[in-house]
Formats: sequence, structure tokens, C-alpha cells
Amino acid sequence: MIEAPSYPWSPLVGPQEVEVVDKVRQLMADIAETTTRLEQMKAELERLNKQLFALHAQKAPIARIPDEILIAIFEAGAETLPMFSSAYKRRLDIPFQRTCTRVCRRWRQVAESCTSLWATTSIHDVGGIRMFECHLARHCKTGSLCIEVHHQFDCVSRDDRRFAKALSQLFACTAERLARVSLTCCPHTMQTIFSDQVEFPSLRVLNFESADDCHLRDSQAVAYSIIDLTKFSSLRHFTHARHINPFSPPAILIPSSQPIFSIDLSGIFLPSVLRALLQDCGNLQRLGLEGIVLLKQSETTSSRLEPHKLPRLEELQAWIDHGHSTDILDELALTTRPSLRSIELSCKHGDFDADDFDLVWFLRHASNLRRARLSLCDDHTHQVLATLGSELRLLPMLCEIHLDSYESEIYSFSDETGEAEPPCDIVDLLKPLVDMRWNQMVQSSPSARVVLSHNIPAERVKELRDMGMRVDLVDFIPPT
Amino acid sequence: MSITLISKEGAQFLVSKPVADRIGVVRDCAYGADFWLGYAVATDDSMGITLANVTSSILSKILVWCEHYKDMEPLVDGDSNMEFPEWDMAYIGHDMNQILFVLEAADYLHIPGLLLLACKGIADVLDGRNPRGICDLLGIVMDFSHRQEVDMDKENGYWRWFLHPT
Repeated sequence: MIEAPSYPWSPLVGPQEVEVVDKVRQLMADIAETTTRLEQMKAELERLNKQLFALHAQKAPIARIPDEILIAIFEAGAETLPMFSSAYKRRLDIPFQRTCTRVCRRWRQVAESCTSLWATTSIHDVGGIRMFECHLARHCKTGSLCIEVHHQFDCVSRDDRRFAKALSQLFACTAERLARVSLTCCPHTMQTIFSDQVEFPSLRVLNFESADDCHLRDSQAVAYSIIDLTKFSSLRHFTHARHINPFSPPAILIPSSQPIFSIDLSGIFLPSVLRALLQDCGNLQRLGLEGIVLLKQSETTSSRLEPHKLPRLEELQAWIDHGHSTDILDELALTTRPSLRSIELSCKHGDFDADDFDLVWFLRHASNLRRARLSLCDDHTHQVLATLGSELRLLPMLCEIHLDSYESEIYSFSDETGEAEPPCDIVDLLKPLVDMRWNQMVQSSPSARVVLSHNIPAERVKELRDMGMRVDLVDFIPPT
Repeated sequence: MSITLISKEGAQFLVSKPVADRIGVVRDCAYGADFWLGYAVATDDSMGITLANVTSSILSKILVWCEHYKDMEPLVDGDSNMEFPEWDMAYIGHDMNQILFVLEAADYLHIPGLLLLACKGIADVLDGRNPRGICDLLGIVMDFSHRQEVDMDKENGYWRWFLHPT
């Protein structure tokens, strides 16, 4: 309310002042009335705008979308629900599916009725286990569960033992429903978690990653680790990452009846350990070896994996840190593997050793290979492409070649002098393919292509395309 | 061999068989009876198949996707967490209205791969927005009852209490 000005330091100055004061008061009353009216009009405008918005909303495309597609949208954006104390502190940390429940009544009803949105959680501490139990009771009473456990253990502290025990109990209670488990902890903790005589009949994916430095804190725990996969009768995909103690590799038990389709391993694995692991993987279709350090062992050829093992292997990815990735083909007796459809070979160093496994030998036996991604040393790459260009009977089904780690020019280094030989241009490298092999590749698939790095200059790519080759460009992502 | 598709506005699009094969509705029409002589395909090629719910601009955009994937096996049932190639994400873009129209058309035309891509595109655009922002963007009325609002406040309070009981 506006008040009339008063001047206590001055008396009335005359009758004309009364008239002025009346006018001031009248104006103030008018202003107050207009302000009230303005507020009313603003409220009315807001109401009408909402009404108009509601009318338009009825015709909005999102209103026409059926519930099952709405669920697909929620699932496409669904995030892992964090179960640890520092989560949800900031508004930005609210998971996508939780935000969706606060949009409107329909979205809330649809999102809350879809259990798969609430099934993937990550647990970080004991408080997280309590949160998870509440979450199960409120949102996820039925259906399969996916749990990620991230915890930097030191294996010996009381709190960590308590956490491992609580987690073990939780897993035992939900054993029937667990479909996917990812563990980032030390092998000893993994053993504790799965130590009870409980079967996990629905578990299809098990990812295990050794936590950083846990081997340094408790090397003994690593030494006696046994990863027993016999409890997981439905296991399809197993990942074991960052094992770093070559002298006490984990014993991974896989029964011959296990229908595992895919195994990913990284870290130091002796060839003998790899072979022991793969002995009974008759159903294996995909093998990923990343960051592997192959330590040569003094052993005879007879100890190598028997050639009839891994009869169904279709996809091999070998990103080797030390030692040539091609050696893995030899070590695992994958040299005569007609079932292979896709292969990725990478090694970080570029020294060509005459003793390295001869890739051409492999090419002669991989008759069903469709896709090859090569990040090898220059000589190996040159050898492969030259062979493909000259021997058309090799790899009749090949339709994709990735050379995505190469620049426009490849230097060959001489072993004797250490000096670089003249650069080999990417166009020169691929020209034999264009001249001889390309028609065959297009016949095996109309979408045949060669994938190169974005770093290749545009004019070189144009040159290849002008010659008739289909070239796609990608950003090269080096191995981790 | 080619087939004519007719949009809502009557515009005609002549497409090759591999491209038309990506569109479930067209595939069903084409193979419903004899090869290329289903009930919806006239013997006179110029009549083609009318897609009454799809506008010309959306149909032309969808045909770009079909052309790109003409040599690949159609996706029947995809994983909602699947990773889409760069090309797909660039194709679907960030224009919410357009993505919604593509989504509706993909559902109507029965193209599961494109439907999943559109769902992913919508989720990406919504990601990071608050509920009010989502309502304004999509044209949704926030129609919670007072009781539901109280429930949501309790929900927030519950987690706050759980995380910070003191």
C-alpha cells in the first residue's frame, strides 16, 4: 500500500495543500486499484495460457505415443541407479528415469510399472546395500536384476570384510533374479561374495575387474584366488579385466557343459593359463584379449591348445601390449580356424621380427573371414594387403578391411640400419586391392568397404573413391 | 525392380526393392500374396502403395535411413541399451519435433531399427532437463494431484533422511 508523503519538519502551508493532498491520495488509491487489477489480469493471463497449452498438449505428438514406445524411450535413457551415500546430493545426479516419474501422471504410472527401468543399480558401500534393499521393496519386487559393485577394498579391514559379507548375503537372497553382475574389487572379495553354496541360475553376464593396486595391498589374497564359474549355469559372457600378477594367475573353473559364448580377458596371462581356461569352451563364439602381455614359456608345441578346441569361435579380438598379436593365433592354435568371421589384431610396437607368426599362413585357413581390422606393424600390414591383392583365392568372403590407425603415409623401418625407408602412401598400399580384389569383395557383400582414419587427407580419400573403392572414415580409438 | 510409395500429400517416391524391404509395412504388402503383387500393390506400378499417415518430408527422411541400411539384415528386436553408430546419431539429430514424427512414422511403417534409434534420440534430447523443461519441450501438462505431489516430496525427504539421518 502506497502511503502519502508527510513532512514532520514543516507545518501546513495553506488551504491549497489540502487540495493537493486529496489529489495525491486519490492517485494512490487509483494506483492500488490498478495494481490489484493488473495482478488479477496476470493471473487470468497465466490461467488462459495454461488452458491454451493444455489444449495444444492434447494434440502434441507425445500424447499420441503408446505406452510401450514410451517405455522404450525411458529404457533408452535409463541410467544405472547409484546406491551410495554421496549420490542424489546434486539435482544433476537424479537419474533419467527418476526425472521421468516427475513429468506427469501418465509418465509416472508408466515408468513405475516398468521394473526393467529400476533393475540396474550400482552399490558402493554398506549404506548402499541398505538403500538397495529398500529400493527392491519399493520399486523392484519382481524381474531380473543387474548389479554393479564398485568398491576399493584392501581385503583386510574390518569394514571391508563386513561389506563383503553383507554383499554375499544380498547376492544369496537375490540369486534367482540376478541376470548381470559387474564387480570391481579384489579376487579375494569375489571369492567371499560367491563362497556360499548358492547357485545363480539366471546369471548371464559376469564382469570382474581387479580393483587398482589391490595386489600390492594383499598379494596373498590374489595368490589363492579361484574363480569358479560352475555355479552360473546360464553364464554367456564372462569378462576378467586387469589381472596383473603373472606368478599367481587366478584359476578360472569352467565346466565343459558351460554354454559360454563370449570371454574377454585383459592383463598378464601366461599362454598356459589361457590354454587351460579355453580347454572346455566348446561353445565359445567370441574371444577378446586386450592389453595382454604374452610371456614366452619354455614349452613344446605339443602343449599348445589342440586344433579341434574352440570349434565355434567366430570373432577374435587381440590387442596385445607386448609381443605380436599375431603370436596369439599360433599360441592358441587358431591358425586353422574356418569358423572365424571377424578378427581384430593390434600390437603397439612396430618392430618386425622374422620369427613372428606368418599371417599369410593364417589367411590361407580362415576361409569364412568377413571382417579384418588390422593395427599391426607396417611390414605385417603390407604383407597382408599385398597377399590379398595377389592371391584371390584367399578369404573369398572378405568384405570389410579396417586400417583405421594408419596415417596417409606408412614408413617401413629397416632392421639392420634402423633408418626409415621411403614412405609408402596409403593409396599405393590399397591399389592392389582396387585392381584385383575389390570386385570380389563387392560380390561377397554390396556394402563392402575399407575403413580408414579421419586423419587421412581428403584428397587421398577422394583418390581412392575415384578408383571405385568405398571408403568410410572413423575416429581411431586406440586400445586402452 | 522398384516400387512407388505415395506420401500423405500424394507425392510419389520411387524406391528400389532393397530399400523398400527395410519398411515392414511395404514388405508385408509386397510379399503378402505373390511376389510384388500383394493386395496393396496394383499391377500398374504407377499406383504404388499409399502411406496415408506419413508426410513427404518425413518419408523422404526415412528413405535416407532405408537407403543407408538397404544391404543389412533388418533389426527385428533390439536391445534398448545398444550403441548406435555415429552416422545414426547424426541422422536422427536433436530436433525434437522431427524425431517425434520419425518415431510415429517408424512405428506406423514397422521399422524396428529406426524406432529404437528415434527412442534413443528423444532420450538424448531429454537427458539433463528437469521435469518442467521436459513438459515445456514436449507439450505435456504437469497434472499431478496434490496427493501425488505430497508423495513426491516424501520421496525426496525419504532419500534425504536416509542419506543424512542426522
